[in-house]
Amino acid sequence: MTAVLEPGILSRSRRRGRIPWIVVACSSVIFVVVLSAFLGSMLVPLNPDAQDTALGMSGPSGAHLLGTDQLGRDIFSRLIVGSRTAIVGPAIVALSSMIIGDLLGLFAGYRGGWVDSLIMRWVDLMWSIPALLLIIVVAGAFGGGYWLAIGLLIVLIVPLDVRVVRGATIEQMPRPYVEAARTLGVPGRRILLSHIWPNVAPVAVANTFLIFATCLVSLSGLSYLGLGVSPGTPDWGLMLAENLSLLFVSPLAALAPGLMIVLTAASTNILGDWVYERLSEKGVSR
Amino acid sequence: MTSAEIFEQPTKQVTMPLLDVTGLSIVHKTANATKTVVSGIDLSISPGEMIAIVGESGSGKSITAKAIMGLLPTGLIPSGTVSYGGTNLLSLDERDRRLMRGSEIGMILQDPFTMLNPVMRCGKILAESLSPEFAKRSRSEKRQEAIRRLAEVGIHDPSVVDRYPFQLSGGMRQRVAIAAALARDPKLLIADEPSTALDVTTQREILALIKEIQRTRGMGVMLITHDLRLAFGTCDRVHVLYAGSLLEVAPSVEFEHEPLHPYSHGLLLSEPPVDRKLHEMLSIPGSVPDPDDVTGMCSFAPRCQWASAVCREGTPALVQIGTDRLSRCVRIDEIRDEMVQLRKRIQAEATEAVSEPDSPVEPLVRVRDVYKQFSSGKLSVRALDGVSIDISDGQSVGIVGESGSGKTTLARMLIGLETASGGEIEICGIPTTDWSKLSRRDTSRLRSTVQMVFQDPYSSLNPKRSIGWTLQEAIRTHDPKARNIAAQEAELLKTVGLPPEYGQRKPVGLSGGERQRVAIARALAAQPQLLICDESVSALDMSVQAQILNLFGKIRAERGLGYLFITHDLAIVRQISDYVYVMHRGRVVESGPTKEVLEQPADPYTRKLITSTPQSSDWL
Amino acid sequence: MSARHLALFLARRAGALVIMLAILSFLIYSLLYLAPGSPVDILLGNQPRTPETVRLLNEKYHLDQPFLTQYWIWAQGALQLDFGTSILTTLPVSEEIGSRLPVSIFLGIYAYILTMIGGVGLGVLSALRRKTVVDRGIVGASVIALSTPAFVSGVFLLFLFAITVQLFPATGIGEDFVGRLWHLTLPAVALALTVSAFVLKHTRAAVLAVIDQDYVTFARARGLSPIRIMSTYVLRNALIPIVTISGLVLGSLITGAFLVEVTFSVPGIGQLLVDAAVNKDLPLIQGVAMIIAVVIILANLLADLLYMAIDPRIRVERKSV
Repeated sequence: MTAVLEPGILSRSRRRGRIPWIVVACSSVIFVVVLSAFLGSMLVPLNPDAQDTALGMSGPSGAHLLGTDQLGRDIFSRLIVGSRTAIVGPAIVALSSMIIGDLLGLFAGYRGGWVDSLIMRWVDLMWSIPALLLIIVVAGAFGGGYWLAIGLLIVLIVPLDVRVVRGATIEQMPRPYVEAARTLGVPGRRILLSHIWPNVAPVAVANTFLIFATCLVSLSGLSYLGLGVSPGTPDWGLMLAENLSLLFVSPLAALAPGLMIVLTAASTNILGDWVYERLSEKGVSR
Repeated sequence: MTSAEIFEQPTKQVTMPLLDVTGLSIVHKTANATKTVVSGIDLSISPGEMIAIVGESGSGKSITAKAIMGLLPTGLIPSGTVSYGGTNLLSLDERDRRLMRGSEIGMILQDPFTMLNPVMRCGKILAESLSPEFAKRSRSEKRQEAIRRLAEVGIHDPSVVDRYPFQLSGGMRQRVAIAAALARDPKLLIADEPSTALDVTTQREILALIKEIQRTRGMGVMLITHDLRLAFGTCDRVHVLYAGSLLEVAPSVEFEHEPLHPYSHGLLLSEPPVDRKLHEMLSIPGSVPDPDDVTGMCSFAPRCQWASAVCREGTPALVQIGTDRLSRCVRIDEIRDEMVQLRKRIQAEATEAVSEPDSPVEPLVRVRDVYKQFSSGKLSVRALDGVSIDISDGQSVGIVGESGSGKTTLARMLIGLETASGGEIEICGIPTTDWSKLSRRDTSRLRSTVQMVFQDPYSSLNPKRSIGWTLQEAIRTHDPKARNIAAQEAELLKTVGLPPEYGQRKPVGLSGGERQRVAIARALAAQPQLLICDESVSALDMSVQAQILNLFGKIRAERGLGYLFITHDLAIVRQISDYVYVMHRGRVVESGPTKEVLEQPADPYTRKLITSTPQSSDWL
Repeated sequence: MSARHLALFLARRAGALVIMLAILSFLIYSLLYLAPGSPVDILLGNQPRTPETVRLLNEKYHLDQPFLTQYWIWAQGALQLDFGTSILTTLPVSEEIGSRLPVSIFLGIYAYILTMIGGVGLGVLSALRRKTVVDRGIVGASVIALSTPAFVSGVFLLFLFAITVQLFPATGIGEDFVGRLWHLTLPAVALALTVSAFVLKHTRAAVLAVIDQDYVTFARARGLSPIRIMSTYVLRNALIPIVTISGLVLGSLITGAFLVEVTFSVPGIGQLLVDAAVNKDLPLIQGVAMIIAVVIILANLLADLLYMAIDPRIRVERKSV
């Protein structure tokens, strides 16, 4: 998987050192979401779990900015707190894939041989299985759950990262600068870390962003289907499912969590592309 | 409307040239800036004439050709007139230009490996290229026509029409491409470096073919090349393009006899000849500038040894000298004699060591009956087939061969990047057939005996690391206890002719020649006795190539180290090595002192190589 | 490629396919034992556990046999599309699947056509209009679409075109063909949106890579017509990388269908699987998973054949080895 945008498309508004407005906007979105994930319970105007059964469903008002759901819970507060499950899982998967995937990818690409073949068989297998299908099937047998899904996503998504990093490594391997280092007698570990890695890093980092966005979407989809977070948890995907029936009367209740998913995922993707460009523009290898 | 109706037949007026370009300028427009690519080009081609446009990379020669064809990439805007049959092509709309392409002016490109549609059979490529009146003919008629067209370009095997381009060799593909370009019988053919991507022997065949077709058809040809000698050998008139403008125009014979511009003079002298060893090669300092950096003056002035104030006082005009020669040098009358003297001095033959390599004690490198088998799936290729060579300490040895000769595989074995399938290799008395079995001590001893400079200067340096970082790593790897590394780094840079400030730079800011200098410095950091140069100058421009070859000579004189030159270019071997091995299909077909082998070749393959090397007269 | 080579290739691929299916079916069957709780409890579902019900279950699923024998019996049944009975509805799994499959296939093909038209069409358009407003607009929109999962776009479409402007029905699947087309338009668009953004991205990159190739310049230099260059040069060559991602496209369409069918209450196979998963209806999960696995494997085989058909380099190289 490569960057979403063609390289250069973000750079049009970039004068020397100036950050494009879209990147500023996306960073702000991510910043707000991360802040809510950590400090959510302190920021919320109302207790997100407090039910006001007497009130029940209500539209937007002064007291409830985005209205309340059928159990009378404040949607705005739940939206803020919901950012926790939205980003914790993807962050864990992205982090694991960054550590496991990048190391395995570098190693497989550098060593080749049976290690590489073994890793690649696993990658090929996972590549042809749609992640969500496998998670649904396993969740059906094991009873689902947020952490089970995260575990499965790691198993399914790390291979994608391995594939990308390995490909980039193999591309660097026959380049004369690597061969020159070998000829000079530079130790293998050093060649891998201080020669190849800096040239592979832009791809690896961009891929980490992409994985984050993919997981965010998958996990919220799973919660939407009722196979992710446990019932009652404030989560964007689950909220969307719970409030789907309110679409006729109080559309914001369903649309707002959906919008948050798109906004966060799109911001991550765009930021990933930008980071890729910034990292690779300083000394591009042919 | 057919093309013939738009363009009056140029044959009506005999004196009228086929193509007349006047004041052609091309600018590159981007959102922020407008850059000049070429400016004020005047040239003309008469029917049956073959002209050359010679220039180094960045001179704008390919862009000029594309402008004439009307195939400029977006953002490049031409001005001036390109007159063909009385019509200014630049004023035509795209539809009319398309009618002209192929049927009036044809074009072939540099790389035969990328020029043909990979998913189309050759017969179909030819059939679709035929003029529209063939479109209604039957399939078998088109096939027959395709076979006939292939025969014209020397392919007499009719089964080629059923093959895909990737099933053909580079030379065959270029023939198919020529047949396709000529399918609508254009009166002018533009050939953009048609032989550069090919092996030497194929290169000659292709150029001979173009020349022959040009003669039999009475067609005009515009050949674009970077090789002055090749231009002399094939064309009637030569135009030298530099930084976007023409510096000299002259008939080949007179041009070769006496170039009338310091740049063409320098370019000619930096092309090493194959028939003799020069005392020293003249190199032009620096590299080709951006056209916008040299406006308002003679574009060559910054690199010219004769430049004076008058050269910087305005853009000189292309003035007529004698009957049919043009030069843009304002001082040509003053410096003409000096240039003649300089040429005489430089082209004086150097004494060549003909003596046997001190056939001696123990050679530094000893290779015996080495072979190498590459296998993928069930196919296996023997890249090396019983090769034996010797290199003694301080000797400069050349290995010459075309692609697929196994020369690079051999070089990579000597530094442990490849392992032989059998045979013996000994370096410094250490058996090194399999590097993985060597002790750590032996490996490090070998590292400081043999080092390598690679071909591609652009990927030879880690793009993320500064020059200083790269050199310091090399120094530390060679000697972990090394002190005053910064001083050593500066010393290395000085050896290869770079200022110490270059240590701060990243490779991206360096020209090809400068990068290759750094690569040499990196190899020297290990203080080797033998430097293997794998096509180390072949990716460089001619003027820069001479600089690097001179640098190799200087380093050898200073440090007394030996060389193993791997190259396809006999001329380079002639200039730099004492002893030569000629390789063909994995075997050494001939070896001996360079002078002897090149002057009295014994093997037919060596003879073929020598006759294929571009020479100015009687080449084709 | 001669018929013999093609037959040989197909036989080899079919062999690999059978092995792949055997492994997958084994894993899918193992779910019964891997899942927490005893198989008997799982298969009983909400029925009371009495010696009578247990005896019936044992008889039906051969739970008293050794594991491998059970698998063998199950696999033989699966070959005849017999996956047991659903715990929830007590109907045979094959019947459940059979009744849901047509609407899912309809939705899938509908969405596939939309994906190809939208993804390939807009991808080519934006590549040809490179660096213009059109290109930037398309690419910008595709980044958003790529980040929008099918259930979110489904909800938005529902809100916009079924509630705000009542153009399309919010639920139901229609009676005749036209009615079905009308009912399934919103689900199909929602499903196609994300996937077509993915296809668009790859198409654009593929076309851009081809446009800059020498062979296109050479074709223009020979005066070939723009239509011919577009069809036999640009599209023909750009198709090769597009076909290689078709396996992924199918995978995304299938998983997207789970979400979309739930959103629009389309009684398809996706909704069936989700219901089965939520209710731990294991025989149903196994049946649906097997069917989807077979579809994916066959589709990948088809993509491979297509790939060989359009790229002579692959075709001829396979022949020579």
